[in-house]
Amino acid sequence: MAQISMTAATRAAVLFVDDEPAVLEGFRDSFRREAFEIVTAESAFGALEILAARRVDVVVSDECMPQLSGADFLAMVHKRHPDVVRIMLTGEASLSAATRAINDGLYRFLSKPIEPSELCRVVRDALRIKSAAEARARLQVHKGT
Amino acid sequence: MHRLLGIRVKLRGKLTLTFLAVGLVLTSINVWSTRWLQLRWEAVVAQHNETDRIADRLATVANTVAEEGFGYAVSGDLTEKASCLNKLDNFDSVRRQLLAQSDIRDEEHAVLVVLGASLRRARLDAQQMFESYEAHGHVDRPIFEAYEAGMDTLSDGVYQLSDDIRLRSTADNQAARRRSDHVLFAIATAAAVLAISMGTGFGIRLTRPIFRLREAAIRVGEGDFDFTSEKRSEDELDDLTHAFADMAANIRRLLAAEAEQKSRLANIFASLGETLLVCSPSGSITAVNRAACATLGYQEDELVGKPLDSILATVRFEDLLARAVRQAAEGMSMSPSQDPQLLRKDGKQIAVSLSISLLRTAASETTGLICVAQDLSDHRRLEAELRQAQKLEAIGRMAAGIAHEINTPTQFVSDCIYFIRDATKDLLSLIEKYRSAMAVSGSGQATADTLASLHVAEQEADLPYLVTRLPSAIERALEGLSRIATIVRSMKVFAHPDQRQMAPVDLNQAVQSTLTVASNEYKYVAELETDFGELPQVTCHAGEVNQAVLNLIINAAHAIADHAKDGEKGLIRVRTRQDGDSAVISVSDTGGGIPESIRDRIFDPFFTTKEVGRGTGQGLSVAHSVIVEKHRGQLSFETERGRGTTFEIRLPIG
Repeated sequence: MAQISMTAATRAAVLFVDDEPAVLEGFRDSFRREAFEIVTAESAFGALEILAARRVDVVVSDECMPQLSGADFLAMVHKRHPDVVRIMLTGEASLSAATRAINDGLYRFLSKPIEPSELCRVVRDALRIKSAAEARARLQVHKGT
Repeated sequence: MHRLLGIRVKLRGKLTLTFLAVGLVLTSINVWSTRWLQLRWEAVVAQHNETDRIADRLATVANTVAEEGFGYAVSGDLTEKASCLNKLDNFDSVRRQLLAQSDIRDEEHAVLVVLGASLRRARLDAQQMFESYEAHGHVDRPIFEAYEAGMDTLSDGVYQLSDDIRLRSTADNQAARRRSDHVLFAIATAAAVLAISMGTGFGIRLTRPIFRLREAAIRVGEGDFDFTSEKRSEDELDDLTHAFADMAANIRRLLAAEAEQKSRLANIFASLGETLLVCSPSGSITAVNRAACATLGYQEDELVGKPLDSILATVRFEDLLARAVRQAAEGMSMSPSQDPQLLRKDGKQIAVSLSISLLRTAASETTGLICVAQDLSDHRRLEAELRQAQKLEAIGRMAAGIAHEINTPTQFVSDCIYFIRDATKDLLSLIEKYRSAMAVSGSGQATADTLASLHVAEQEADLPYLVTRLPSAIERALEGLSRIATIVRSMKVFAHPDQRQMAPVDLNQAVQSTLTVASNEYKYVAELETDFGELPQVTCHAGEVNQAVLNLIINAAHAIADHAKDGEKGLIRVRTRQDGDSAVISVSDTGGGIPESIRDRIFDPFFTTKEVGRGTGQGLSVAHSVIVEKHRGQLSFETERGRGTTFEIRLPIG
């Protein structure tokens, strides 16, 4: 209950990107009780707009999407928002796309279908790593001053 | 003989020189011998004539003497003593002249000597007679008679001698002429012998090369071309011999080349994979290759001599010949005929593609018929294998897309089911709480606390959320399942794994299934617009037609992806319609069109403009083979650079 009452400013946000709305709906249902805020986008360009507009901690993206593939999208995220932890969740990806994504420092490469509990565990781990890194960074900033 | 004053003498020169030399020798021999003989003969004749003349004078003198002597005696005029004696002396001098002639014979010599003695006596008698007359004035009878007798003897001897000499001289002349004839004959013979031997000598020298040439000709005629010549003389015959040797060498080379050509042809003939049959104009087989024996199951010697008709199952030799003649007249090359059947030795029929052409001499005389048959059973199997391979390739390529198409709904269906499971658990526990509350209220002890606890329970179960979200979750799950089912069903319709024969097919359904299966290939680059017209059932191999349509759709998607700018989507328009006896399927794209330079190659097997992993150059080739060859339909295209391409499949409905 305490978690739910946390303000939006302090709540972690996870952005799910998939061209299939039903998948996004499913994630909403599955993670409705999680501590993180759920943000969704049906296209890569939509997701980039959201990223530019607000804070996002983790991105979970599909690979096969029109206009911009998941690998290309995550590469752009890596460039523009290097602090965002990136996870790829795909129904089927070519080997080259997967290799590229991993070489760009992808946190996890996951295959559809995945159980909600498993995906949830991965996202929680990602958030923990992210907050630990931020704490370390804050500490160093504090020491430096 | 070969060189004269350092100048090369040709055959004509040699012959001329030879004839000239022989002629010169013969002529000079004859001229000189004739001249010599003539001179000799003339000398002999002159001698004899001289002797004759002297003999005649002798006779004349004798006659005169005798007559005058008698005259004196008879007339008694004996005053002419000096004249008489002079005459007698003259007589003797003529006799001496005759005696001096070289051709006087011994017996004549003797007669002349005796005559001389008689003359001397006659002179004495005459002198006595004149002396007696002078002394006595007359002549004594005995003295006159002695003189007369002496004179008679003398004149008789002279006449006799003169006649003898004349006769003998004539005979001598004849003998001399005969002798000179003989000598002339001997000289002529010798000259002839000389001429013959000279001629023979030269002839042998001249003809030696001819004999060598003749020997060479005989050897070449007998097929021995290992003939060489060495340079012996320098005339035309030798040139001819050399030319002949060169000719023999050329023939040897040509024969070797021909033998090699022959063996090469024989090798080609033997190693030709197609069945090759050659037959005579009357229709009996004259030559076959190994492949023919293998295909037809005969030994070579069994096939040769057999009528061609005995191995033709569905056509006759006459028809083939007529067709070949027509073909030749129209100047066409060999063209395969429509699937005739050949008859194997074991009675089995095999479908072949048969190409025929006339066997002709250089003078366009027909000497036979060449039949090249390609065993179509192998060909068809390979075609089927190629189509199968391409189908597998297409399915392999699509597997990723299909996996995605199945995995995505699986993902949200399972999410929904998990959500429904959790929600059901929450709802069930809430219902449990409702029931206990009902039990409490049923006993009439419902309190505000109970209601408050129910409210809390509802809050915990997130009831408003569940109420709004559960129905849509169930709908989504059902929709996802139906999508999975559709894809699986479409895959089955697309592949038609159990259809071996042509069968009536709903083409619209087939095309729809293909679009479903291939959706992942195009949906990220293009919108799809379908316009399915009314179509009757079309008899075809649905799986293969689907494969052809799939290949067109994949190409359309690739064309759009290559042409599109900045992720802008193109449009794929798929239409079906009936046009007379044909069902038409057209696939249009808004890609970049086909460059003019490759338009006539796009149906070639393995021709591709795509990079490795995106295409193997078989799609259009297989589509063409399926539509045109297998279904006797048409596959055509219209293309415009920068605007797009439309492929059109036409299938006969029947």
